[in-house]
Amino acid sequence: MANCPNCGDHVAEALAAAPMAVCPSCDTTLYRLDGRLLSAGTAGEMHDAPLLFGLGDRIRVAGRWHEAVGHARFAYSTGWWDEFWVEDAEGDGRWVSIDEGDVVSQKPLETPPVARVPRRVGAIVSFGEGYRVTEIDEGRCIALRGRFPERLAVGDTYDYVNCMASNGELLSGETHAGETEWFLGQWLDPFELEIERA
Amino acid sequence: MTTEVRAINCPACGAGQTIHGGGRVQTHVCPYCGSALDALDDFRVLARYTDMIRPQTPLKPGDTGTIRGVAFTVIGLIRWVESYGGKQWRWVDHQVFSPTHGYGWITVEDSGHWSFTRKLRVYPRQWLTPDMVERADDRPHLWIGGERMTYYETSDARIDYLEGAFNWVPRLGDRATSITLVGQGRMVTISGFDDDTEREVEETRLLTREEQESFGVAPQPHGPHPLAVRPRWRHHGFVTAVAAGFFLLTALFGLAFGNGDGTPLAGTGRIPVSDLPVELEFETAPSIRLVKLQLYTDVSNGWAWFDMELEDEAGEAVLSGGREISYYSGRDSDGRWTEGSQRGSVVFPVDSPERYTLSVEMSEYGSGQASDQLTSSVVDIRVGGLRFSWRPLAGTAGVFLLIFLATQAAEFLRRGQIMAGSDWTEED
Repeated sequence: MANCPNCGDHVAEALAAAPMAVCPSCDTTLYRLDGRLLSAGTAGEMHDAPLLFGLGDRIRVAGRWHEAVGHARFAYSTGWWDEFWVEDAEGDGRWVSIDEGDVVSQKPLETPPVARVPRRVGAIVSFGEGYRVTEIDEGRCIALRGRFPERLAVGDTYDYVNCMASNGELLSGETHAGETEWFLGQWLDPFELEIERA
Repeated sequence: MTTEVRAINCPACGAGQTIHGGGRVQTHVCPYCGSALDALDDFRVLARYTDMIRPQTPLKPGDTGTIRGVAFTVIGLIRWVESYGGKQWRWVDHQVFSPTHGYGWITVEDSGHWSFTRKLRVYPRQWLTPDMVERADDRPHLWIGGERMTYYETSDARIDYLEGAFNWVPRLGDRATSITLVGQGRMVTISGFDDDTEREVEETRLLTREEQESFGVAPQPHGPHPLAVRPRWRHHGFVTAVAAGFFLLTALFGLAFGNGDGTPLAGTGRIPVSDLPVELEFETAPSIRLVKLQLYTDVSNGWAWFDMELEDEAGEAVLSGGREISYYSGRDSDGRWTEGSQRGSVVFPVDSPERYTLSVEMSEYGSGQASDQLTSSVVDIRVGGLRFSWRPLAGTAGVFLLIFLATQAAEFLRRGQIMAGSDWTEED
């Protein structure tokens, strides 16, 4: 049994056990430290907007059904995009980001590129067959819901770079607090994506 | 994403207008004064396009409809002109937007058909460029998304009208080169043919009647379109494969087991006709269903009638009948001619296993219509056992072959209709 340190409401085990979660009662972000749930502040306003799928929905990615268990929203120069943390029945997860019909499924890279993060659109990242930088921007976390495999906080900013290979694979680098994480994945077709509503 | 529908006054002419189209809009072209505004920089004026003539089109920015169950809004329109060999083609693309499914295009074709084009994120392993098309000896193909796409045309078009919002920065007079390939019910257009240009793959499908009507316009197609050709028969692949498979199977089976004279059961060898009548005894194995009797006689410019009777082991006649063999030859003004044959055969069913006696007699003969002259001197009689007759098997193979050919011919004609407007010629 775990309780929200802000409102005292019961927090489901799945949420309480996650590295980071949002209290469904008061929208406080929670994280676990030394076995205790701690508050990390507000989870932000998740304004209603048309979404391809939402928290609790199931989508079929890479031949397996995944449930959307975490929903983060990031603002950037021309609006916002949504990131969902989805998990399959075995708890294996991946990120699915959605921005106006552009849908990408990515997993963290265990052996990321050793080169420095490129700073120019059009540059080639020497990784695998080579990835061309298509976008460089900054995203700021503006809202969180559900649970996540890592700590996120509203207000955190991320410098990101998107790079595409000739076969359509998307390599993304996200830099936050001096640390860069790399993710690799594929585009998903919003018209073909199988979705089961919660 | 942004859910904002922005309203602005054009900084050039002051006209109020609505910017549809989400957060990816980069340019908005004022429909009143033709000013191209930078949507990413407080709508400052990028360029002014005067003297543009608005095309006749049933859609305008702000119109909404449903495509594949998804609501789309028209946000901008752009007219393209392509010139080749003294001819000009014009068409209008309408950029549409859905907050969940992104951006696409509705194109109103000259033929009255409406199509929907959207970006695909599926990239072929091989790429195709206009130079490669020029050098190709055969019509080029690409595999895209597991489907073999066939080259249709190369387009080099320029923009001659702009209005509304776009998720890119089109400029009046800009040119775009693309290659279009056609597959099953869809066309794929590829662009980006040098190292500095992003490769793009777009898919085009015709809108259904319901989809077009959802935009408030009744469909009025009045000309051909490669995607308006009836779709491939959905059983085409299955029927073709089954027909070809059964044809080969029956043909091979027939060649292996049905052809030839069967298992030899009895024979006289070459004997004088004076030895007739003869009796041949033979025994049929359990697998034998038919017996083939083959007759040869050296009859020349005459005929011979052979009576046959088959008796079983009990002496019961199970079959009786006859067979005429006639053969004529000569030479006339057209050269040498022959008619008839010195060989003949009879196939009849038998029970197996069984012991039979076959008696053969040459009861009548003659030369021409009236003479009773004997024109043959020897006869050769052979009896062979068959498991089945090749004739019904050949008939079955023929039916399968016809089905196969008819299916392929229908598909060939259909492909011809699709490719009727292609710019590919075998001389290319």
